[in-house]
Amino acid sequence: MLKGFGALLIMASAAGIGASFSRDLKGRCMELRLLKQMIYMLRGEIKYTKTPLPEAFTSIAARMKEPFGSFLEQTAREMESQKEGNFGDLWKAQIKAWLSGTCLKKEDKEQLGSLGEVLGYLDLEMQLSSLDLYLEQLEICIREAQETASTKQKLYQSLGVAGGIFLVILLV
Amino acid sequence: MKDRDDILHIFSRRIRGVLEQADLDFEELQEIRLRAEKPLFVRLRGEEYLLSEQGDRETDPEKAWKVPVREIRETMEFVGKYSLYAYEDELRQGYLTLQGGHRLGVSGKVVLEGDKVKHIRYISCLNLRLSHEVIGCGDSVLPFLWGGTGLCHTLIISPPRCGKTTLLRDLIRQISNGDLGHPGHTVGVVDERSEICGCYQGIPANDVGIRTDVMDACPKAEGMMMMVRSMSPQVLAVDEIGGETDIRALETALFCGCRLLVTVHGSSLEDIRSKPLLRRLVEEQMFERYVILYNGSRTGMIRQILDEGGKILC
Repeated sequence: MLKGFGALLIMASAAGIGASFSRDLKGRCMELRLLKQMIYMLRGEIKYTKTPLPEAFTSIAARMKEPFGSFLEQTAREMESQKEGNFGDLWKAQIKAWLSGTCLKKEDKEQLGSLGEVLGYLDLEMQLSSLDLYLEQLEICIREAQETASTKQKLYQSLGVAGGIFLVILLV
Repeated sequence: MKDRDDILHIFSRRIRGVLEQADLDFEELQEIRLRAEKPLFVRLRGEEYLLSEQGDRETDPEKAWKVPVREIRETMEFVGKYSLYAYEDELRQGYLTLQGGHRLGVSGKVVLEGDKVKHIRYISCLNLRLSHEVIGCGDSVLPFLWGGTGLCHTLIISPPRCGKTTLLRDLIRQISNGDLGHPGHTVGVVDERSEICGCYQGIPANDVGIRTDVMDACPKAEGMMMMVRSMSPQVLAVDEIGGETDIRALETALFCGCRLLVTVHGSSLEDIRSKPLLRRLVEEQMFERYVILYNGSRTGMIRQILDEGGKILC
């Protein structure tokens, strides 16, 4: 009876691990799409109204899901407080503080971080081209994440279950 | 000064530290000048001082603190809220207007597109000119501006830095609120350089009266037409007219029944007559009052007030 219960627990947790990996893949796709939406809105604010970044961030933050909303709002607040002289450093620190718990991969965050190096500094034309370039990179990442998700989601789930069964056989 | 902290906050942290230690009287402060690797200058009550790193006033350039170029770049980041692209058009003209109507002049390396200025890069010199709101500086002028039919069309003639914008601002405030037994008038202000009202996000930071509508950062000629069409002002106020389109827009506003309150660069009525574009305005007696300022001991010192025929009223 006890052995049966233990075996069930092992199988459930292994399947859970598999499911969690598969959820991360799906989460990354969703978060990359949110990022794309955020950058599109920023592009619009810059192109059509030439809004300065802190105001643009605050207005976009209200329309974004968490943690992107808080990320933008806090970035705007930090910019107003003028504690940091370089926008790139401030941007990277906020990515670290707010986007660490997301499903985004390290390279996604690095790519977003490097956008901070060109934001705000150049003229309007260059600003828009930098955002367009980032959007292109983001599009490639989304496509790649979707392909990975469709091929590996099922794999992780089955591996989880199979690993559970394997452990049960090994231990019981 | 109410916006002392706002002014200090446009500077980099190190420059801010020096200015804070210097304990300057912002009511009397006229200018702060920064040049890359050169001393920091402040102009206080018409006197120029250099500051040491500890904020002491120096006269010897050797003892003064030299502003590192890094500090100027950081200041520009703060002034432009890390978004200089948003101020591209203003920068192209060589200045930025800050909240409160203060003007920051910039110079550096100019990037051309064809024969036009596209952008200023490597900004290395900054000059902050502080705008001072002097409530009541129009008291001695306003009684002369009321005629039998109401407010006279008025042209304020003044050399640079004599306080014409300050005087205009106070006249707008008093005309808008109503004073000296005259009811308040609806005033439309076209504030191309945001100096009159010091608007921040469209809301005036300076007191320009309770019946004043402001078209902020709008080219004068276009703004005047928009004002006449949309806000039906009784009085239309603009600063520093000069171009042909400005004068044409003034004429249109005049035909629409607006009273005009306008400033122009110049030193006397003869000076205005010598300028081809403005001469016609004087000859056709478009203005009923000319207020002429000069560079005296304080802002807005009046040399003369003349009527349309050039007769001295004061």
